[in-house]
Amino acid sequence: MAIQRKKRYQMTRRDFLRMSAIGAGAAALAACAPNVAALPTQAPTTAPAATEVQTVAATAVPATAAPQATTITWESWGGTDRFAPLIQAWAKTFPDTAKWLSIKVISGGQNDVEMYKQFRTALSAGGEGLPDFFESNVDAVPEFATRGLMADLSDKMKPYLADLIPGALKVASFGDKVVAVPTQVKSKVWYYRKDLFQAAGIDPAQIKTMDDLIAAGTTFHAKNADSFLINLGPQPIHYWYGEILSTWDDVRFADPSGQWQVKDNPRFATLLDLTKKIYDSGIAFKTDDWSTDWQPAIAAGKVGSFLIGSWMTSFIPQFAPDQKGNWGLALWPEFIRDGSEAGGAVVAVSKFSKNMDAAFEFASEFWLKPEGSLAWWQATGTAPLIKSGQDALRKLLPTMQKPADMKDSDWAVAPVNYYGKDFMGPIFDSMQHVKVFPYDMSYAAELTILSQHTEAYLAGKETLAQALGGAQADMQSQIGNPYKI
Amino acid sequence: MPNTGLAERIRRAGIRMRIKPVADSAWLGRTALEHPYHAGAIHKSWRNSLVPYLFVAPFLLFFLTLFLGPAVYSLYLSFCRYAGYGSIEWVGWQNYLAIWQYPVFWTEIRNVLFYWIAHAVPMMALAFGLAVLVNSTLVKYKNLFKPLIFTPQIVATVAAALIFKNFFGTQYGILNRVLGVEIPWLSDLNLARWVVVALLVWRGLGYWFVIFLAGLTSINPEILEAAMVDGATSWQRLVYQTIPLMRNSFLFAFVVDGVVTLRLFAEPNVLVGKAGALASVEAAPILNMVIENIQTARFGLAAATGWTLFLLIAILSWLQFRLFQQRGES
Repeated sequence: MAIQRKKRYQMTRRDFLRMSAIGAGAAALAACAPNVAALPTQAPTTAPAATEVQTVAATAVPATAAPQATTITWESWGGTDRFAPLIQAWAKTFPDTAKWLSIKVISGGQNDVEMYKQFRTALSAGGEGLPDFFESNVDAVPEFATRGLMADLSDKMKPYLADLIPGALKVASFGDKVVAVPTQVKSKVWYYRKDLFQAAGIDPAQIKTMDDLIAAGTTFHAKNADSFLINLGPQPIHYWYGEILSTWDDVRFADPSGQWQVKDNPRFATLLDLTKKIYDSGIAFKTDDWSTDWQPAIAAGKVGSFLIGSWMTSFIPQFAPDQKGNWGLALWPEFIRDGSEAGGAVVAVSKFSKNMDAAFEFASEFWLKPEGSLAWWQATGTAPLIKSGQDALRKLLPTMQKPADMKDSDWAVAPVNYYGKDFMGPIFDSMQHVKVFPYDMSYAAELTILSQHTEAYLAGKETLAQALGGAQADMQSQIGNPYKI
Repeated sequence: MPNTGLAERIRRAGIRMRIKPVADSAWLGRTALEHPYHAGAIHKSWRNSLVPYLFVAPFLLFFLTLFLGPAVYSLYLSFCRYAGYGSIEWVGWQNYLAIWQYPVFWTEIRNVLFYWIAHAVPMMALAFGLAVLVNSTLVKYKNLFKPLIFTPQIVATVAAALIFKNFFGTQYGILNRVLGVEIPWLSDLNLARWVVVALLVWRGLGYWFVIFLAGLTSINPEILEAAMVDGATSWQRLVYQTIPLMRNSFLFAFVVDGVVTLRLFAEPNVLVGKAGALASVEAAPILNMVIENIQTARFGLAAATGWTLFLLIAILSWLQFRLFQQRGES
């Protein structure tokens, strides 16, 4: 009788490959599966994984009845090096708080879009890795306020509301709630070459209509042959659209039910028409903001003025240091004076934060108290958004001296010396005209599509009707309902 | 007993085997290795069989975990509406229909096809010509020319694009200053596309030069010498011998270059984009649409675009294989 031996399993090549594929594929799917469960309300328990991290420690002082030492995380974009002097300025202004409160700064990426991608990833992981508070542009507020990332600060902000300038409250609000602390209002400011405008006999305050603007530009170029009134190239920069659209109260990309309005709302036609008139009229130097030729053109005096946001204050001295004293500030022409450039910037406290009170305390001290807002202005050049802070700054400006740690060359082109000691006046005035465009959750995509068709319209490849109709059709097919993402 | 000669060869190869004697009339005249039903007759060592798989296992694991798994997931997402967080909504073919109806999609496909064809033809011709020249006896100091021609390849893509951006600036670019003109190389997008082509040719030339040079040096010189003896001119040797013998190198070059170019991203965006924004549609590559959809939390559309691009690359690569095979047969 033959001996029955148990047949041993011999792994074949096919079996090995099959099992490897199944195992690895299962592991990959498990790792990649989204968290479709409801987002937790608890803050993350582990420290956030940072691209760059910088911690500024509080001043070491023996505790007396002070709150418990706390470290909060602040996330923004760009490098973290610029935050150290800001936090030092805050600590110097509020030493009592700095005794127990430390700020750890995290960079969310090169720009705000990169940071928002990180937030979405963190939200898909249930809020793991989100900071205690973060900087945000106003156009991102609808998405993250709707999706429950931003804490409702309405009650905490009540003591400060009376002191806020109206534009700042608009920037920090979503619906009927205050969801953030405003840090910057990007009001519309007209920067102009005083010498060139004088040579052409142009007074910015007298320009009230589109025809006035074209006429002034024609005169300007006639008197200053090497210079143009403004610059506008074939691919207008994205913030141009927001600056114009925010002028009006009755315009939005789609109504709350998701019905698109680009084709039918006459404001969009006005935007495209206005842009093309400026482009075709010969009053604009045909180069776009932030193109390779833009900065050299400013330095060479090719561009006589900028219709732009108030953040340009700090850039002109860098681009054209030898034009010190030649630049003035004014309000935009009356017919497009209201509005803002992307609204502004805010800091929002994360709903997942375990240190919400500490985060709000820092934010309120720095941006809602006069001494803090003044320290913020001195550190960043960004105007205070509270009336008491603006009053304090008005008193400070005429007596400003060079800070001890500033180089003479930097002091020479500091805005107060570059533009003159009264330069903040027009900026404060411009803040009275701030309006915030009603952003929805798909603003970035809407802007991309609108700019594509505007460029085609400027190039003569589409008529106005085709551009508006095409933009709406593309928004419908690519975005669907902009209030749902 | 099985065939002694075979068993001796196996023994010398050092392969341990178990040879089971089988009382089977069907066995007669056949060796154990030939017997189709004798599964356990001769076995390789279990360890020897496993070792090759252990060597490739790390790669397989990474490939499956970091590539194939996410690829399969992205294929699923391409049929869904998903913001990167929150709920996933199945929408079927809606994403694909949306992008195929989007004029921007076709513009960007046209752009990458233009970049590919417009740069590949002159670049490959120039790279091959330089390789033939450097490989010939006409050129001395070959060891000087080889690294010189390859140098642009080692310049980082973004750095090269920034250099070109300054070189081709309208008002203050070096080229316009030297020529004394104001040609809008980068602001006129019809011209900007040609600047992208120039950058692709400049950077890619050295790489394919090296590949073609290696292909040329692998040709058996006796074949060319025989043709020389038969009276063939240099041109005839090049056209009727060298080029046909380089067919596989050309196939590799065109297919790989096509794949890389259809996935283009950095060059057009750095050259034409402003303030960190992506390039305008008229010069944008198709990957811009993927990036924009990701940035605006539309992962389903991004995945659908990516898979459409994959399909396009697969079809074009297959066509090139067929084309080169047909030419080879003819």
